[in-house]
Parts: sequence; C-alpha cells; structure tokens
Amino acid sequence: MKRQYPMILTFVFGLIGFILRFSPILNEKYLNDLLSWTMAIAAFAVVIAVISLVKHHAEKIRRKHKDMIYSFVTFIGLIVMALVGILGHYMPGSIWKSIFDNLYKYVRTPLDATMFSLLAFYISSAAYRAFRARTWHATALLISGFIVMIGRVAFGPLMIFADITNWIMLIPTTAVMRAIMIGVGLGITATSIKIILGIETSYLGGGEK
Amino acid sequence: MGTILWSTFAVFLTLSIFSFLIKDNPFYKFAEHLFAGISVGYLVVITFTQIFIPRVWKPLMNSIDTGNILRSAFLIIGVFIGLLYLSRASNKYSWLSRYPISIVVGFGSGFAIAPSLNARVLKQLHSTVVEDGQSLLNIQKIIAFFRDPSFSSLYNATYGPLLVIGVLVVLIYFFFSFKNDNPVIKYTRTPALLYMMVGFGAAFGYTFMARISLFVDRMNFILNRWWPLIQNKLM
Repeated sequence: MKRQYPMILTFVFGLIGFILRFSPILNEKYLNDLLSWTMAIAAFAVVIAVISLVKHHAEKIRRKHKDMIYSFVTFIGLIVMALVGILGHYMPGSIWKSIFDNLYKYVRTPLDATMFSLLAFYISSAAYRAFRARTWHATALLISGFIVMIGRVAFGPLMIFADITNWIMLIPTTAVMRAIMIGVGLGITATSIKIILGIETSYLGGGEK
Repeated sequence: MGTILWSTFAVFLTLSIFSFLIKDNPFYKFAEHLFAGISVGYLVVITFTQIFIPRVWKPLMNSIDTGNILRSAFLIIGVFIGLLYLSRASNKYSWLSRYPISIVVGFGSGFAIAPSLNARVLKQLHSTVVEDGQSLLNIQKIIAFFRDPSFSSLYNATYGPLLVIGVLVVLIYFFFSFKNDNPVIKYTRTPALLYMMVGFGAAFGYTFMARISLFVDRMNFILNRWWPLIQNKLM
C-alpha cells in the first residue's frame, strides 16, 4: 500500500499520458482536463517548499542559533510577499497590489539579478583555476571562451572576433549541443519508460514497503 | 517619495549582495535570507493566482453551478490528492505524499516520451542531415569553393561537413565512453574532445557575458537611475 499502489498509479497515469499523445480524439476531449488536474495536484508541491523552509528556519529559532535573527527575516519576507500578493490579486487597484508590484520590482528583481551577477566573479575565479591546468583541453576552452567574450562586445577592428564567435556558435557549439540534446532525449525517453514500468522508483523516496 | 525609498532599498540590497565579494557579513546574510523568503512567497502567490484559482477553483465553482457532478467530483478528488502533499510534515504519514507524486511523475513521464523523442532526437537528427531543404553534405558547395575560392565559399563548403562530423564524433564519444580499441572510437576521441572544449568554452564565455550584463544592469540602475533621483531630491 505504501509503495505498490503509488507504483500502480504511476503505471496507469503514465499509460494515459502516453496514449493521449497518440490519440487525437482522446487528446481533444480529455487532454486539457487531465493537464489541469495534474497541474492542480503538482501545484500543491509548493506546500513542500513552504514546509521545508519553515521547518528549517523554525528549527534554527528553536535552537537559538546565532543567526536566528535572519530566520525571522525569511519568515517576514515569506509572509508579507504571500499575503500582499494574494490581497493584491483580489483587490487589483488597491495599495496591496502596488506594494506587491514594488516588492517584485525593487526587492525580488534586484536580489535575483545581483545574485546571478555575483556568479560572474566566481565563475571567473573557477575558470582561472581550470585554465591553470596546462593541457590542450584547457587551452582550447580558454581560447574559445576568450573569443566569445570579446566577440559579444566587439566593435571597430575587434569585429573579427564577432565573426569568429558566430562561427564558433554556429558550428562546434551547435554540433556539441545537438549531440548532448540527442543524448538527453534518449535519456528522458529511457527514464520515462523505466519510471512507468516501475524499474526506476527513486522518485518515491526510501522508507517502508 | 515612495519611488526614492523603494529604489534606495533596492540599492541597499544590491550593495549588500555585492559585499559578499569582500567576505560574508550581516548585510549579505540579511539580503540572502530576505531573498529566500520573498522568492518562496512569490512562488506561493503565483501558484495560487495562476494555477489554483484558474485551473481548480473557478472550474470547480462553474461545474457546481452548472450541476456537473462528475466534473466537480473529479476536481475535488484532485484537490484531495494534492492535499496529501501536506503529509510530508508528519513522519508517520509522509508515505501518503507518494500518491500525488506518483500521479504527477507517471503522467509527466508518459506525456513526455513522444515530444522528447520528437524534439530532442528526431528533429535534431533531421537538422543534422537536412537544413533548409538541402543536404548538409552538399558536394556542390565544395566544388563551388574550388571554382571560386573565398572566405564565404569556404564557410559554405565546410559548414555542413564540420557540423555533421561534430555531431557524430561527440555522439560516439558519449555512447562509447568506456575503454575501447575499436579504431573508429579510438580516433574520434581527440576530435570529439576538441569540439567539446570549443563548445563548452563558448558556452562559458556566453554565460560569463550574460552575468556581466546583469552586473552592468545593476550598476546602471545605481548610477543612472537611482543617483539622479537622489540628486534631484537633494537639489
């Protein structure tokens, strides 16, 4: 009951999903309803995200961790954003909507963009370490990376780098990405079949039978 | 005034995150924890307003209003199964969350097989053989290069063969990565590695420049949008 029934459900719904793709009549009739239904179920997975976050920070506060003050910041951020967003959804012209928009524009967006831009500094230091390994692989990687970096902002006499960048993006990069894509496609297909047939069960987690 | 306050807060958060480049500090921790809370809060709002309301609540209310009992029951069962995710909070009943997971994973897997094969395998293979209705291994283009040698005709002549060879050698490298003395596998390793290193280097350069663009955007925000606002207010 704890593992067998979920595996049977996976098999049944896997078959339904597979057949729906190949039957235009069933597809037209039931696809939207079934997609909405599974999306509605999947939407509740957000609850797991909230539970994990709350559990982690509640534990920090309970243990009086030295950084517990920041856990309160996370809680405040979560509660304010969720409440203001939902209130703003029901009252479109209200102050809640305006606060939600400002929270998104002036808090979430800058934080998101800055976090990702911070990675530029770390990938440079990682690249430096990688390029110190004096092999021809690292040299090819370095030269290609350098050309593309210059090529993306090329001007005047440096435009030659833009042309070489185009060539690199169109031929070697496309060839590699295409081969990877084919491998990924075959991998997804094989894994999906394994999941439906109950060979791959890691998504159910460990624990009791 | 509101815009100035919000913008100043955005600048404070931006600088707080960048302060991590010096070392970990309370400003960075504040911004990092706020980011986690705000992001999950935003996820809750988006899930509630974009999925739960339009795909569950409204159809459920409509079907109740129109007396469509079967559809109402179908949606209520969906909500009930979704609610089983909540059992994750309990150690004793967390196995119940396997039911919604198995439905979503099962349906997703079955539904993904055909499009994944089509878009990631068949279409990619097709594009490796034919492009714009012409074979990529077009001997006419090679003849054209020898008739009129130029950079343009060289590019046209080598584009297809280099692409096809690249895809083939990289595929061989991936699928036969174990030690093998077969000459095809053995002698395609170095070209495959060269293709991959050039490709990954380009991907690295591209990603790096995308990150730098974000950095430039943040600096642009501080220097060209926020600072003029402050100057106007002070003068």
